[in-house]
Parts: sequence; C-alpha cells; structure tokens
Amino acid sequence: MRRSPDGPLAGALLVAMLLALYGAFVYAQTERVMGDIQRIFYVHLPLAWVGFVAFGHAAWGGIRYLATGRREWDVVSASAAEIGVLFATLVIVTGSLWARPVWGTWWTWDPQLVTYLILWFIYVGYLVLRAAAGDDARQARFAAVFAIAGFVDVPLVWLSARYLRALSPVIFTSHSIGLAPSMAWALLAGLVAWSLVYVALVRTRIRLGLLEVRVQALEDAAA
Amino acid sequence: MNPIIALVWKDLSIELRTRELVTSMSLVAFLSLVILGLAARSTPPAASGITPAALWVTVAFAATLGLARAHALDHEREALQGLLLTPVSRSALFVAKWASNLILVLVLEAAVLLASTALIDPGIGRRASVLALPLALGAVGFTATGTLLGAMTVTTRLREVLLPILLLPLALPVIIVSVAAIARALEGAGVAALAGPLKMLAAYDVVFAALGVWLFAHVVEE
Amino acid sequence: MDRWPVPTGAHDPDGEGGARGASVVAEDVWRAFGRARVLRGARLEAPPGSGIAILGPNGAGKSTLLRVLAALLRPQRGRVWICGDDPWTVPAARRNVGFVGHEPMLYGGLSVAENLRLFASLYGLPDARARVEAVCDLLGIGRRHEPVRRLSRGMQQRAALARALVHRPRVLLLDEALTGLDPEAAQRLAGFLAEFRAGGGAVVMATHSAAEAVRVADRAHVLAGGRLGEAQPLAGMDADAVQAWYGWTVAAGPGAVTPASRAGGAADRGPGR
Repeated sequence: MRRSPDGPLAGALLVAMLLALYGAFVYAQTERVMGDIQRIFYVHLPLAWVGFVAFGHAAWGGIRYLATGRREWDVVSASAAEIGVLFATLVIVTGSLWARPVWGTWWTWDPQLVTYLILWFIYVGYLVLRAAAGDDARQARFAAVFAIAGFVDVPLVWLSARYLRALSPVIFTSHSIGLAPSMAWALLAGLVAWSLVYVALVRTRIRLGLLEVRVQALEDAAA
Repeated sequence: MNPIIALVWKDLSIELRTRELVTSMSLVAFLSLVILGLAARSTPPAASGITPAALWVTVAFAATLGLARAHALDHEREALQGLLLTPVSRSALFVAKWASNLILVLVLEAAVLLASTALIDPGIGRRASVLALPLALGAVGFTATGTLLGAMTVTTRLREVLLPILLLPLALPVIIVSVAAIARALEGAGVAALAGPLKMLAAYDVVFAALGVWLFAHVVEE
Repeated sequence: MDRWPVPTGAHDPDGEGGARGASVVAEDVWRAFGRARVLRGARLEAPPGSGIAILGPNGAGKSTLLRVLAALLRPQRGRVWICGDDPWTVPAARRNVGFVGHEPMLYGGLSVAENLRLFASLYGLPDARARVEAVCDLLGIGRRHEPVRRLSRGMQQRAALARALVHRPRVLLLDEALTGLDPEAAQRLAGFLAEFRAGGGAVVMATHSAAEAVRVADRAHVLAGGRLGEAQPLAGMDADAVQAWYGWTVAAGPGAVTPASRAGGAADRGPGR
C-alpha cells in the first residue's frame, strides 16, 4: 500500500495557512495610504495567481483528454475549472471589498478585476456548456475544447484590459505597490497557503469525480 | 473545384437565394441601433460617447444570432454528416465555414456602418475608411471564435442560447480593443496611430484561427 | 450511358490491405452513448460482391453500427477497415464508402445537382459535372434543379442515394433504405444493388424486415442488445425461414446457437456446433 499524502498535505496546509494569516495580519507592516484595508491584498493576489493556475490546469486536462480520450482527464479538467470558478469568484469579492473603503465604490474597472470578471464569465460558461452538452463523450470533448480556448484567451483578455486602462481617463488602481520586505514575505506565505488550498480542493474534487466514473462503470457492468 | 471554395460557394448560394441570414441579422442590428439612438437622445451629452460601443454591441449581438442560425442550417437533414463522410480534412471544413461566416458578418458591418451614420453619429460615415479596419479585423477574430463555438453549441440542449454565453466573453478582447480603436479613429486618428490596437486584433485573429484549425475535428466528429 | 457505379479503375480493386482484402471489416467494435452501450464487440466482414443484412429490432443499434462502419462515429474500442485502410488515419479510405441514412444529408436550399456537384468536388472527382448528370439519370432523378427541400421524401431519399454513389464507392451502407419506398421503387433499388454487387461492390444494409434482407443480401447478422450475431448465409432460405431464424435469435440473444439448419436448411457456421 502506498501511503496517502492526505495527512502530510493537511498538516502542511494548516501550518502554511497559520503562517499566512500571521503574515497578513501581524507580520506585514501597515500600508501607509490605505491602512489595514490593504491587508486583503495578501489574500486577493494569491487567489488571483492560483486562479490562473487552476484555469491552466483545466486546459491541460482538456489537452490530455483530446489526446488520450480517457475520462480521467475530463474529470481533472472539470475539477480544476470548478475550483477555478470558486477562486475567481473570491478574487472578485475580495477586490470589491478592497475597493469599497479605499475608492468608495464596490467596483472599479481595474485591469486585474476586469480580467477576472471576464474569466469568471468564461468559466461559468464552461460549466453551463458541460451541463448542456448531452452524453458523456460529447460533454468531455466540448469541455476540453472550451477549456483550451478559454485558457488561450486569458493573456488576450489581460492585454486588452490593460490596453483599456492605458486609454481611459478614469483613475485606475495598480496593485504593483512598492513592497516592503515584510509585505513580500506575507505575500509569499499567502501564495503558498492558497496554492495548498487549491491542491487539497482539486484533489478531493478529482477523487470524487473518479469515484463517480467508477460507480457508473460498476452499474453498467451490473446492468 | 477546390473543396474550400466549393464549401464557401455552397453557403453563399444558399444565402443568396433565401437572404434569411443577412435580412434577420440586419433587422436585429437596425432595431438595436434605433434603441441605442433613442436612449442616447434622452441624455444628449452622452450621445457622441456611445458611438464606438453602439457599433460593437449591435454587431456582436446580431452576428451571434446569425452565426447560430448559420450553423443550424448545416444540421438540417444532417447535411454536415454528409460533409464528414468525405475525405476533406476537418480543418478545411473549419476554414470554409469561417470564411462564409466572415463574409456574412462583413456584410452586416457594412449595413451597421450605414445605419449608424444615419441614426447615431454622422461622424461614422466621414471616418468610415479608417473605422473599417478595426471593425473588419475584429470580425475576423469574432467569426473564427464563433465558428468553433457555434459548431459546438448547435448540438447542445441549449442551442442558440448557449452561443452568446460562450462567445461574448471569449471574444471580449476583440470587442474591447476594436471599440477603443474605433473611438480613436472617430477622434481623428489615422491608420498609423492605430497600429497598436490593430496588431492586438491581428494577434487574436491568428490565435483563434489556429485554435479552430486545430480543434474543429474534435468539435464535429463524434 | 453510365452503368451502375462500380469500381472502375479509379481505385485499386484489391487495396493494399493484403490480409484485409474485404471491403469492410469491423473488428470488435464497442460504442456507447453516455451510459447506454449500444455496440458491444461487433465483428463483421463484407467481402467484395457480398450483400449483408443487419437485422434487428428498432433501437437495437443498427444505425450506430452503420455510422461506425461509415466512419461517422469513432469506435471507442476496436477498429474499422475500409478496403484495407483505417478511415480515421487514412482519410482517403472514405472515398470507398457511400452511406444512406435516415436523413438525406443534403442541403435543403440547394438543388440535387448543386448538392451533388458540391460532394463531387469534396471527393475530388475530376469529371464532376458529367458524373452528376450520369448519377441523376441512373437513379431517374428528374427534378434535379429544384431545391431539395421542395422534393418529396421519396425523392430526397433517392437524391441521398445519388450522393452516396456520386464518387463511385466500393462499399454501400444503407440504413433502412427500402423502408418507405413504393414497391416499384424498392424493386428498382434492389435491382441496382444486385448490379452493384455483381460489379464487385459490397452492400451492408440495416433493416428490421426479413423479407428485405432476403431480397438484398446473401447473408445476415442479427443485432440485438448491442451484440452482433454470427453471419448466417441466406442461400436457400425464403423470407419466412429468415423471419423464423431472426425471431429465434432475437429471443435467444445473438451469439446463441442458431437452429438455422432446421429452419431453412442452410449451413450454420456459428460457434458451438
């Protein structure tokens, strides 16, 4: 029997999350202009980065599915996309929470938020497509194609959102704040912790999906 | 005859006979422009600002409807299955359908330019020669994406409803950049000043053309 | 006048397949739709000149089997060979197949002639125009310049047959092609198919009627519950005998020992005898 990495993963996640919370709320120095509100940045930015990774993971699962035709890869792709939608939602929510006290508005057309809003639409579309596609094989094929197209779109969305900022007279916010060392460490801790959250969630979701596939196979064999 | 030309000719001759796609797309576009024009009338200062967006909102929604219908035509009497029986490569099928869709959308854009000159902003007509470039390059990418996705959505349970849900977010980069370029063209910028956005549009076009050529077989083959 | 479209030097009649000299071979083909396994390990071989009937009740998977043979559906397991080539890796193998399904697979907005010219160029025929006229003459399609959508269902079906024949295939796959035709048209089609086979073409026809099977085929498989039975030679059997054998096989499940010799006196090549 292979030892399951679940135990060590849970332990590492716990430690990393505690460190990240400590880093965000205690260790990092208070930002001069925005004050304590800026601490949401240590959650917001890691969520955004890990969200990109999730969408890349979904596209990778799609590429592998198209190459091999194995249901397992479709499960990987669907799981990553679902968790990616969750992360994208959190990115938008934390962005709004941040914007409200700092700029007095729930929504700014900040390039990063715009990018995430569009990505949110793309991957919610992905979930709708899966639900509407029909039989399993077609669902997996269409989902794979769309996951690939969606991920290829990510840099284009980002470039166009930045281009919008370059043109618009509205004052845009930038997240590229000059980081003090304590802030950089807190950010790094957040990144590690949220990456581990992603790994834990996606592993669980994939396991669930694989079990569903197996249950189906057993039912079909019994039929 | 070259298979791609034969396929495009097939789509165009069906359309020339019925004119149902161009007619319905243009009517939707015309209605959209009337609504936008009326809405802008009630807030005059904003009127000139909405022009670039009005063009693309109109084109994007009318074109999405048209593309969904264009793909539905391929599924009547299972005609597409007949094409799949032949040895023609699936990439060639994509390129042909893309070309047909692009021609449709370019016709639509010409109609929208004319109608919006009359209804929204006479400046459009004066700057049409410069405007046409971002609008057409946008149509290239929009239809490449729309052809790949339209072939998919037409066989799903939601059919026509699903295409805008998938296509509009994927094509948003095209719309954003094209709208920005059109806005600058309306302010008097020449083609040279639009090099940046035009390059981005071209990049999107190339990327999604490549995706379509690569992935179309997975979309149409069962 | 053009003869019935049989292989005429456009393709090498023996193919390169060597051991796979048959026109169509299905090797252990599995195909599911979602949860429903429609085909479970179908094996079939159609040598040149043969006529094979796939007998099965409605919903047995006959259409799926024919679509797999026509390379419209990719088998999830197993392979299909057309004249020695796998159409999924050698697209040119598709030139050897003509397929008539339930739908005509033609564009309703185009005339029969326009549709056929389109398909002629997709198959890369050098003599498209003449070929289209010849096929229309052969099948007695008079209103070839009217949009397909205005034609009667029977005429659309005939146009579909023209589409399936325009590129001179060596294999003809027919899904319930005789069903719904008037007796005279069915008679003509059966005559055509006999001529097609005499010229070295292979015919595979799905049907639920034993009478049609006897009329067109020289052997039959029963497809039921996703399983395709062994080939049963039909020589010497009349429609009633085939019906008896068919009914028995569906009831017992294909793959069971068939009492064909009792029913019709034909040699049984099934396993377990």
